[in-house]
Amino acid sequence: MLRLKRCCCGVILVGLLGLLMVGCTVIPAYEQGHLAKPQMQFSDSSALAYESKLVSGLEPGTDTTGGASASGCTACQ
Amino acid sequence: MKRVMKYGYIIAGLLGASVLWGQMLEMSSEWLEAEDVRLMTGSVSGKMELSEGLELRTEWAFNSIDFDYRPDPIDFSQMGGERNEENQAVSLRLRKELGKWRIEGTGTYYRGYRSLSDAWLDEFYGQKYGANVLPGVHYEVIEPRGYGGTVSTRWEYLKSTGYVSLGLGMIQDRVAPSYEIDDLLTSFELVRGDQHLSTLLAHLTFENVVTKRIRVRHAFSLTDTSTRDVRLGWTGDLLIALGDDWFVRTSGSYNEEGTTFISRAISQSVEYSIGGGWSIGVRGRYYEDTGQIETALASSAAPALITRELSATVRWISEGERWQLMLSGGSYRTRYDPIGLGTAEFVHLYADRNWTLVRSAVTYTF
Repeated sequence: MLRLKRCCCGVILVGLLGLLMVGCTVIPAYEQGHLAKPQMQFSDSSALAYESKLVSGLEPGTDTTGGASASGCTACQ
Repeated sequence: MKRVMKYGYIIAGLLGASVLWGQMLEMSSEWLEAEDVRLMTGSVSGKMELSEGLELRTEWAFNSIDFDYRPDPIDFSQMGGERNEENQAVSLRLRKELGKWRIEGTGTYYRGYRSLSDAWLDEFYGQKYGANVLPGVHYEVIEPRGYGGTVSTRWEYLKSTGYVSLGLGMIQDRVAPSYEIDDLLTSFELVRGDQHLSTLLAHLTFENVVTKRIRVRHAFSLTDTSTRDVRLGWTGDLLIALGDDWFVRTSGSYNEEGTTFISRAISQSVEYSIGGGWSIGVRGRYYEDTGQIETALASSAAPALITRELSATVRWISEGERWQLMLSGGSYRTRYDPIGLGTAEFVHLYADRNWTLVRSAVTYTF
């Protein structure tokens, strides 16, 4: 539990730090070779998807469909 | 296989249309199976350019939910048995590129149960109250369905390195409701939960290139569903190219609904390019929540849940990225907290399970 919290905090901190760092410099196109690789992009291609749709349906906190099924509970009101 | 045959004409139609007019064709499937439950989903989607900068993406998806219904052993009024449910969904996405701006609209319609718990609970209520012997409302057989739409815009405020997007959406769901016996002091009557749910969604996403090897994304979301507290969420992704062939992806998420429901997840994947377009990777993921929100004494709300996923993936991407193939397999475990007195009847729904997860996808760009 504590480890998970630390990991989450780490991700948030690194991410936010990244957010703050941008704006200072623009990476020129010729230096974006690594960033152009499929593994380094946020793609909507299913072949490059990392998250399972079915798994998210079993976890009320990560349901990506929105609406009823992502609202904590649909039938317990 | 029976289902593939049953929907073969839809799949064939979409494949044909995509080949004739499309620019991209994609098929994907997922299979998740435990001892007493089998979940499956498949989709076919195509993309075509209607005019310069205007793109249409269509998708048809079907899901199946098969499970052995096992009631509480001390409830002699219910019978066990198999139940099979199917769900179909269609969606359209229109996207327009306008220089540094991108404008997008989506629409979705679905019919059928969307999750195992929805179908399981309907079986439970149908057997328990289907005889309609109690005063009050009667149990109704309902086919869940819903539709929704979103509009969003993305602004590239730094060329190829900084993006911000904002989206708004709404969803209307007709769900199979819950039932409860209401104590009126001198008598009892059956009452029914809401059948219609309205949801408003909003998201704000930042995507940034930090260095020539690091890309990050933060997404903040707000979900407001009728009769429920507002849900606030954050998802963060950190992508790092460690070398020419090593890639790591760390993701985290946090969601909060009211003051009682909190969920957290973190995942880590490592991928290695072995050459020729092939890559192999492993991924681990951990999720936990505090349990669903109970709003009644006898409630079907799920207890606190912890899940763990470990999977391996093989990908092949052809030169020019015309073909993209992915095959992934692994294990997924769900562990619930002990259920309370109010949820004792749902002991088999919220049982710990060891699942096998298989995913596959193929994308072809014309």
